[in-house]
Amino acid sequence: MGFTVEPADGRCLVRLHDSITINCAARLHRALSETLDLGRPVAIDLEGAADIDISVIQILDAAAKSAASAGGSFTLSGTPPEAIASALHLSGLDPFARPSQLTVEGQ
Amino acid sequence: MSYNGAAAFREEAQDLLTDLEATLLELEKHPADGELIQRAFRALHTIKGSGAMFGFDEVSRFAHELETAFDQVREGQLRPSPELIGVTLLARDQIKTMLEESEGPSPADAARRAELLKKLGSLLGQQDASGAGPSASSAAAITGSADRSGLQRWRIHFKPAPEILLKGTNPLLLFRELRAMGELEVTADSSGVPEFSRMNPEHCYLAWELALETNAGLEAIRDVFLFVEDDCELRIEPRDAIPNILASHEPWTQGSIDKRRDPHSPGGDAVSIRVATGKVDRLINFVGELVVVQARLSRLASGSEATELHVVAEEVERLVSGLRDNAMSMRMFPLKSTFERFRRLVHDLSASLGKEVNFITEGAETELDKTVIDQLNDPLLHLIRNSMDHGLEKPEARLAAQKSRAGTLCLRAGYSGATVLISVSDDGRGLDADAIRVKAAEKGLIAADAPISRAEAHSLILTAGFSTAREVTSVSGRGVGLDVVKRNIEALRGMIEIDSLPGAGTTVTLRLPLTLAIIDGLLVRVGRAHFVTPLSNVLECVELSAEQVRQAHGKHLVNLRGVLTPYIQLREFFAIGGARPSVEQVLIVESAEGRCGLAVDEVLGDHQTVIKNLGRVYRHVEVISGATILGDGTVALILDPQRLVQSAIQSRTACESSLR
Repeated sequence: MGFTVEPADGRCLVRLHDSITINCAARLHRALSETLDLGRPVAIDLEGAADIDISVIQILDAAAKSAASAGGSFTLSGTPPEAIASALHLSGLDPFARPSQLTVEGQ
Repeated sequence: MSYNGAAAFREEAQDLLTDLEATLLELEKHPADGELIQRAFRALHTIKGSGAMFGFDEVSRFAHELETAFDQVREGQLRPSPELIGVTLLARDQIKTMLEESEGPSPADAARRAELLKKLGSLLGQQDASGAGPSASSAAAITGSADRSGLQRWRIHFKPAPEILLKGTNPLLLFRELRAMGELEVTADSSGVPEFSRMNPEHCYLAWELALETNAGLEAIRDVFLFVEDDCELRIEPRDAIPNILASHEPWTQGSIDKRRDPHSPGGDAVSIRVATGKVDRLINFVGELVVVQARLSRLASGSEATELHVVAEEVERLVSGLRDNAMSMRMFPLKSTFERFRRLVHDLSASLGKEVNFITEGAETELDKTVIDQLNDPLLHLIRNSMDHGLEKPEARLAAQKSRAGTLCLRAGYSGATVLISVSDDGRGLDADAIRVKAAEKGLIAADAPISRAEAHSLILTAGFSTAREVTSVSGRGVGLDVVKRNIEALRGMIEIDSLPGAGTTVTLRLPLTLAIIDGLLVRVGRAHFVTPLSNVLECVELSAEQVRQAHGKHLVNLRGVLTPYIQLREFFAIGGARPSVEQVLIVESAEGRCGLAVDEVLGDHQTVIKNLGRVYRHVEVISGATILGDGTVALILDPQRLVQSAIQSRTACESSLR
């Protein structure tokens, strides 16, 4: 449960595991804030995530917008599992669906 | 300090069960009342949903079955018959039992649940023989304007309050429920999300417009939002209505949200929190201590010439007084839940006794100190049982006595100054004063030939000799444990009055103080001893000069505007040494025996009195109801004027008898 942050290929790779919900929202927000402040490209890996709630989706969406407005990169790494894809779809938000500014990798 | 979800659910469920019980009993009388049906359904729905959320799976499953039945009632497919209400009441009791068992339901419970569900199933089967599922037909019934396929398009605007996530709500779960009902299209509005660095990650800034195509009705859609409707802005409209809505739509601002928010929702002034009673009691204790310290400060200030100290002392006094009133108001609870509990008792008793009873409650909003309310349950239970068992007649007897078939039992509450009056009255057979007199004579309580008034006869049934059911029933038809009621009420510094007319009914009135923790008192001095009299008992204060004492020729009587009023010399009563001052003060108090005076040396003024228990050693000293600590640290005894007057009368009567 939670997430890890690691450097990978010049980017900051944030891997979300298991159930990632409001319980880790503040930590995730802090971690992303620090990374974005440094102007580093961010990649989000949802492959290990089993459950996600609206607080986390909202954070990812806001982070994506923030990165985009600063001309940075905020990408999705790998393919999210069905449950996560479904949750993203159901939320009406898709932080990674901004093809003009962001690239979706691994697809 | 951690949040205990299970405990919170238990508390919430207890409230819901109380409400469910009251609703069901009301529904039995008004089976066509849609609002009551809706209330019962919502209570069950919430118990089911919250139960599942906090791990009470058995409770949730059981409530689900009941909810299904009430869903059918809601859809008009099932009648809220007395049988259905009876089974639901029993099921409600079962849920209560399940919640109270901390180690999970026992096998006996499972059997009981199965039995109740079987009964419920047979009731559902009787009226749902067509086999049509409730939701399919209900949707058709509600979506009258739907197209041929039965599908209707809805537009849902949902904007949760920012804190909704912290309350455990996940909007995605709501959307999943909606998706299970039909075709759902979700559009999120993220325009309210602040800049990333400034956002609170635990707040929800989003709003959604949802388009749903379903054959479910408005109620079913609304039910999805049942747990969050107080914490969100919600509009559900048929899609056809959208153009009109858009025309009158104004952009969402905080102001407009506040304006549109339901005034009764937790976002308004009616917001409340649950606090353990122990915490409130501790707060009251601290306030009590603070009141004592403040009195000391005021005393020190009055003896000092420092003007600044005076100002501070006055300010502290003002603040402490406000704090005291506020803290005390936290302990005040309406009698509603106590009254509602008896509705069920009356319902069950009338069935088992074969009597028809209209139960009326009045003044249930009257508030009393929680300590008083807690101790009021047993006395009221006794009184209502008495009325039901012995006061009210069976329908045949009532008809024979030219009365309506159904008797009336009324539980009434209201304020009277600093006291609360609670009465239990019935229109039953009333008390038979002659029979009481005969029985009292048999018991040796009165002389066989003693003429006694009706009021005296009534007071006799409050004595211990009349306390067993068989004896009392054979005498007067009343009185089971009434001596216990009297003791309980007197322990609360209350009084009990009985009024009855043979054939017309009986009214028992309990007179209770509003609170037991802090009272406004009048501080008086006799010699070097200090006493406090509850201000609510004091009518006025008059002077008594040595000349007046001399003119009375040793009788303890004071002339009160032409009316001779007896008084008790506290110096004599408490055997306090020293000479009487040339001018004494007499406090005129109201008692059940009439007006009486209490002669003291000096009236020192009003006093916020924090009542301290005198402890077990002094519990039999009836004329003293407690003690309080004065500003200088000395102790003042709190007088119980009622008992004081009774005690003085008794000692006088004993004295006269010994002289005869």
